[in-house]
Amino acid sequence: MKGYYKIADELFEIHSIYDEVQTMCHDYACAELPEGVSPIVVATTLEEIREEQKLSDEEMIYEGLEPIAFPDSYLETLVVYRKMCSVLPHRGVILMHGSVIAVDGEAYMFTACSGTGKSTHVRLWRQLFGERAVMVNDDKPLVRVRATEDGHKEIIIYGTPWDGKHHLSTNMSAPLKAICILERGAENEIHRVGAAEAFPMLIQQSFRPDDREGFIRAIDLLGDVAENVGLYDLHCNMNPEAARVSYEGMQ
Amino acid sequence: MKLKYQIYFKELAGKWTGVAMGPDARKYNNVIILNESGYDIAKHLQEEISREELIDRVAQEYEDSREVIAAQVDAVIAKLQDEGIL
Repeated sequence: MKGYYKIADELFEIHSIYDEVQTMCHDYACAELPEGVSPIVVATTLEEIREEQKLSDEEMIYEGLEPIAFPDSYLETLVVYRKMCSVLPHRGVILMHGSVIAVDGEAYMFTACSGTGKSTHVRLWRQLFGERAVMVNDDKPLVRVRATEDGHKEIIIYGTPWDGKHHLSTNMSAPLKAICILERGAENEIHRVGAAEAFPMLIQQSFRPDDREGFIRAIDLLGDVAENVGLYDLHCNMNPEAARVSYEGMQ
Repeated sequence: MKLKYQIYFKELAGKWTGVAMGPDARKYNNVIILNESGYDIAKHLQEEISREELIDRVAQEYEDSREVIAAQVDAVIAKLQDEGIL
């Protein structure tokens, strides 16, 4: 199976064994490629799908969880994204793990270790802001660092089809205003943190390619992200008030 | 002695954050944070080096006394050993 997709302003030609990845990327499909444009070609093999299962098993064991045998069609979606995200740093784009919501056209990312409650907190934002809020991506958005003509760096975040178990995402982009590191707390409290302080967490919540050049490029781009968006540490509970505290803290 | 993994150090706001590169990232998923002088010591540990050689190298870059440099080298070595990467 083959399909063309525009994701994070990059064109991809995805060849897959199963149709799940093609179906998943449907909202990002291009009927045809613009003339003279070479897409990034991504293809998968059964060996790579087996390897993805092994990687998943290792991660589950590392986190103290029982490994889960996933269907090959699902594993293939991960292989495809892994391959895309291994190339993208060379084009100024990295994958981060987090839940992203845009309010009044500006995006806010919430990142944390799995199970902390990112999606739950973002749901509170959707309840608070209603139609002013748009879900960009609930799990694995892409982030682009773009140099501007005046020598600054602009950070843009994109919705992607890899959007978490609730499949919350929009095919859109927005300037990334802030990244918020979320931790559970009894009270709602937010404070600004420096780039160096937040950087270790941002590294752990980003995808780093295996190849040396891609790895270094990804870490350097992540440094640009850390230096060019607002960074915050949020301790919050599950009450609706938490959304108001975090939004106001990031203005 | 030598770092167990290939570590890439990135400087941000005066702090050096070290991350294991490539396949090594699956063996060491933590990050190590050093100040500038710590980084100036750790960067020599990407290759096999003895404690004395390390002190000599750092002494070429810093004007402190050898005793002061030796103490800094020992502190960085201890930190990296505590992290399990040396």
